[in-house]
Amino acid sequence: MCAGTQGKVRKKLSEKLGEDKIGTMFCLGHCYETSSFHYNGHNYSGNDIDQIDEIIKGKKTNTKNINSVSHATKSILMGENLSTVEKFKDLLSQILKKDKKETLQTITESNLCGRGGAGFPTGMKWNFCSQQKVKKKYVVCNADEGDSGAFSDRYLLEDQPLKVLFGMIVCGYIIGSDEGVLYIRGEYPKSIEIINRTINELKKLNLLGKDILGTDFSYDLYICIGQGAYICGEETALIASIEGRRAEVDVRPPYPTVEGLYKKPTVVNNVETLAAIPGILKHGAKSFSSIGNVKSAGTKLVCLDSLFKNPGVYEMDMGTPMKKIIYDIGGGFIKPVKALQVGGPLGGVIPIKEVEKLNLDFQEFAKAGFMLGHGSIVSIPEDFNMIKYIHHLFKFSAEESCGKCFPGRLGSYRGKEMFDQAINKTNKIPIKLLNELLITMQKGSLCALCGAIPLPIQNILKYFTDEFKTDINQEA
Amino acid sequence: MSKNISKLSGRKGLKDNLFKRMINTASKSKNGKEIKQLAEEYHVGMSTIHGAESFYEFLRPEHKEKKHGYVMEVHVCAQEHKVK
Ligand SMILES: Cc1cc2nc3c(=O)[nH]c(=O)nc-3n(C[C@H](O)[C@H](O)[C@H](O)COP(=O)(O)O)c2cc1C
Ligand code: SF4
Repeated sequence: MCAGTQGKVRKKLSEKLGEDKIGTMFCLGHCYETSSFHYNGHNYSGNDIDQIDEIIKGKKTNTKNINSVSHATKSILMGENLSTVEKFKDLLSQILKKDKKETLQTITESNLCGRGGAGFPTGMKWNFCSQQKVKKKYVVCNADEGDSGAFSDRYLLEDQPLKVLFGMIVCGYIIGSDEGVLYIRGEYPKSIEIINRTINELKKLNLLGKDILGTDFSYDLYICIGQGAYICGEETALIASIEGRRAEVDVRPPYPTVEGLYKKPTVVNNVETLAAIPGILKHGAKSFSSIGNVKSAGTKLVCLDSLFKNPGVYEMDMGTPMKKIIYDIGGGFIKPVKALQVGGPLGGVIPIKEVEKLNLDFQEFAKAGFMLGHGSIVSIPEDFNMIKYIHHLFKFSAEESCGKCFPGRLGSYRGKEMFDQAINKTNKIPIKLLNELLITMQKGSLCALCGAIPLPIQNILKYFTDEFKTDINQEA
Repeated sequence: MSKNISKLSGRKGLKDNLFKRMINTASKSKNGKEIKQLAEEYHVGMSTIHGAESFYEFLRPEHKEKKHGYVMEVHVCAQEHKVK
């Protein structure tokens, strides 16, 4: 896996720095050009490794920007809306003059659903939190984008920071909060820098801070930097992390809207969800709700990895045929691909023939036994061994699970062991036991990390067992 | 238990965020003195700080020792990378 240039990157780095100085980090969000590495607080990718001598001397390379294009009927996430602080100020002063209920109704009627994976209606979440009769409330922007293949939040944080911050401020205004925090993964140093700079700029212009634009609404924003734990993307683990606790998942209810950060009512929203807010408020609820269907409305960012001829992040109308995304927008593949994993490591593994039948729609994906999730697409080459792929999935949940619940903690390791043995040819895959394990994890896990990892594994077992028939023990 | 820690951490809130302080302490501390101070300041046990710190990959000593380069660990990314 990743043996290609990743091995080359490691070799070059260890030649220059020494093997004992080389560590590993999880996805750096450069999947559109790969060969990624992190050096002294900065990320590099593509051909940057060829300039390693200059990088060590302190040269900053001009890492390529993410290829980003909107193919939406009306761009909400990439367009010119809010591209300057002047536009930000205009829209914010309009909102601060309006009745909060009216603004909330626009969000609700837009049918915007959370883009972090769970798809909860945003207007409803904000409404629940606004109804809590508590003085202190928080808004948390979930910028812990850890899904392999995903870089859409990174794109928004770095290229559209005003949209994200605007969404947070409006949320704070509506629910009655005076503080918010962006939890940004440490693997995204440039995002942290840009958001920090933008917050300071807004403060100087009194678009953040005390009595914003002469009103009695005050709002402050902070940044928390993730420290390399995938589970921190799960909202209760993320809250625990901000509080300085172990990032273990909490039992819900109570949901964060009732008892969230520091046990106060909290709205946790994904970066993309928040970034959609200004576009919706500027163009009206209908401009969003009229795209796609009720539960999958509006536009959505989709990330295509470097096996596509045109890798990048694209804004698409919900409901767009996947065939169009893969072949017209993505240009097809640079080498034969047999399946796509859509929606991160917990998303479905979909054979190409099946994915071509689908549209970009949360419900359609779920009905077909897959998951659209956050919208990242990782291509699985024809010659890639599916036993190794399942092994990687189990290894991922074993390493990244928080260890709080038994099915998650033990199940992931037992699964990994089964596939260690299958790869080493010391034992065949005990298929009955594996199926029982997957069901136990699905039904018994506390959260969707170890609870959803069985989905892509079941997909592989359903569609690709022919590839490893002889490695299966049907009796065990 | 966690409710108590949440509320204690919430006394200082986001302005003087415990997690941020932990990160700063972890980057400097070679002995337990700073951790003890931090625990006292937030009225939590030292084990709470140690326990939390040990959870995060970037705060572990072995990670900090690798001061320089990190190769991306690709768990679920099946790419045979494009060599340009
Ligand atoms: C294991 C796991 C990882 C998650 N990772 C993320 C993430 O990186 N970003 C995110 O916004 N939501 C993530 N979520 C979903 C969050 O728990 C939560 O539903 C979301 O942030 C809510 O925001 P939304 O309503 O805007 O989608 C994750 C959930 C699970 C179970
Ligand atoms: S399913 Fe995994 S990540 Fe989620 S609570 Fe259980 S052990 Fe933790």
